Amino acid sequence: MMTNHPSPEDLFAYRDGELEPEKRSLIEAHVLSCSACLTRLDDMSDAEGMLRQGLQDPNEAYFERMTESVMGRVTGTAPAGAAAGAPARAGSAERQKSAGDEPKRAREAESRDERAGRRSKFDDGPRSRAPGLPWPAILSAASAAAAVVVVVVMLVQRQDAWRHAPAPGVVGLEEKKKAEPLDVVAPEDQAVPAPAPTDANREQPAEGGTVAGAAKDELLAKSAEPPTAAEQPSAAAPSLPSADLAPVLSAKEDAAGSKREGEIRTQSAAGALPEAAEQKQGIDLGDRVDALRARADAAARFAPTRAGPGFAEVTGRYGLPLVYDPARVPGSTLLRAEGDLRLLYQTGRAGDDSARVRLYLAEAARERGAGSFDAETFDAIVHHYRRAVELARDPETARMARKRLEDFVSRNAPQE
Amino acid sequence: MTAARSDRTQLADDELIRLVRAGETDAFAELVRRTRRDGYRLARRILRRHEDADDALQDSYVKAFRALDRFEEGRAFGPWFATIVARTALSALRQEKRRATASLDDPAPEGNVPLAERVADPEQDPALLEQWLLAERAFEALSDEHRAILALRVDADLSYADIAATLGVPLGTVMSRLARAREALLEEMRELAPKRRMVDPR
Repeated sequence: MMTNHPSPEDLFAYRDGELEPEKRSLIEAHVLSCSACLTRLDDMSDAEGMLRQGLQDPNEAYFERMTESVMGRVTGTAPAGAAAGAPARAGSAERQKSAGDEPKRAREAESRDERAGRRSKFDDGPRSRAPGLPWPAILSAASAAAAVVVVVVMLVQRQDAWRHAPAPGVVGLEEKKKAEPLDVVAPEDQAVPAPAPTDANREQPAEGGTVAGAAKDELLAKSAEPPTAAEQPSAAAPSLPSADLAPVLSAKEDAAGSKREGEIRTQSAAGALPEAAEQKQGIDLGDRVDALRARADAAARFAPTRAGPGFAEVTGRYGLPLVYDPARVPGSTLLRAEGDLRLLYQTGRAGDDSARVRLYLAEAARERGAGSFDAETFDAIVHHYRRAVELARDPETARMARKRLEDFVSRNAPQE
Repeated sequence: MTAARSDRTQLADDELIRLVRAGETDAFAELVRRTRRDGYRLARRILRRHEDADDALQDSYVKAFRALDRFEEGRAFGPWFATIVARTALSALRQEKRRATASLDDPAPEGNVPLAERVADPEQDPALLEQWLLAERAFEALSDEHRAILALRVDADLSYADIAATLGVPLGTVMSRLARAREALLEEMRELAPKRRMVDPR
């Protein structure tokens, strides 16, 4: 029986499951009866748990560009726009190397094609967004365009609808959300799934959904971006890195619970949208599809959980405009509304209006501080503004939040 | 074994690797998709700055692609790739010795999420957000050595043996360094905590 506390090394190694069995049981006996060591382990677990969840990833658009850039480097065909992302030094070396491998790979690919018949006809290249140009591509492109229209109309409709009442127009998206797992989840025991016919896959959820659900599905399928492992943890087959990184994922899940998928989607939505707004010119179909997909996902997510008085109700009660406007909102009103806004936000009912609530909360905190802020208040206000910019679904909110942030920082930046 | 690109999401890592080795290099994109978030996170933890993490991550994929022939079948791709990322990031750190600490007021470069925003999720409990920010700040304050080993353990979830191999140090060093890093993290958090009272509803 160990009377002294184990060394930190042993204590942490015990928790990491890195001890030999005998030592393990020795430490365990101590830990179970020592509140100091138990507390220490708990503190450590808490801290690490927070670290696991704290670092928010960049948006999906970054990861897609990064992937394209990488693929350009490894296949020796630098994609347009990837040059900036790929450091020139390593990039050129790699391109040379890959170029040398190219004939061999081409020969291998040819012989494979012979063996497999003409299977590669509809195979995407590493980074082509649209397949060659056979009929399926043309049909799909046409339906994708139709889907864009349908989804946009839907979103415009429901944008107004849900603010006042449950939106009937969202049913299609909800249906789609329910149907989604069907076409992405690989059964646990299906280590090597048969290559499923893609077209059948695409049609499947459509049967369960409405026209709009089907349209969105087609849109998703046509975006030529299969769901990533990160977005669809359940889609990964067994014995994958996702399994090996499961502790990281499950830590996230612990905190986020069943909302996890939705949260990740929301993050990507939040990231993709401002960008989409800023890059209106010269935007390609892929980006547009990404933005629409993000928006549709966010819409599908927020609609079903909406309950109780929402943002419009709160702003209505206090006579606040939907988007904060310093000329129209007296400080006293703001402070009176603050409690309700905070509650709205904390209970998750701010939903799509999170950005607007953030903006209001930043203003309220600013109002309370009345010109003198300690560093923490300053950080908190900046934080609210930034999140408002990031989460904003409408340009007005984003513009206002950005403007207020700039104004605030320029007047109050700490002198260090 | 052939598969349209959309089917590749269903393949196991091993199979994807086999495809790439057989010349279907575009199957590599699926491996990238599966590992990019974890890889990014690890690189970012070690290097702090988004641009540096981006460079390291891309270089790591290129290295992994080149080394795929040497990849032991049956091994998981994720941890293997994590060691590549860690090595790449650490050597970048050594080479450049960038000491730019992340600041709350750093302008956010493309794809970057400033420190203050990393914690944010609109639905999260505000007290938790506060704690997360605290943990992030404590982590940022650690030495390179401590950040690296914590990232390998916490973010990449590598075993002690893998960490030892990645860092090129004996197992005993991993144990002691990791313990010191953790103590330092807790200490930083304790130091930061009293100053961080709740000042704002979140």
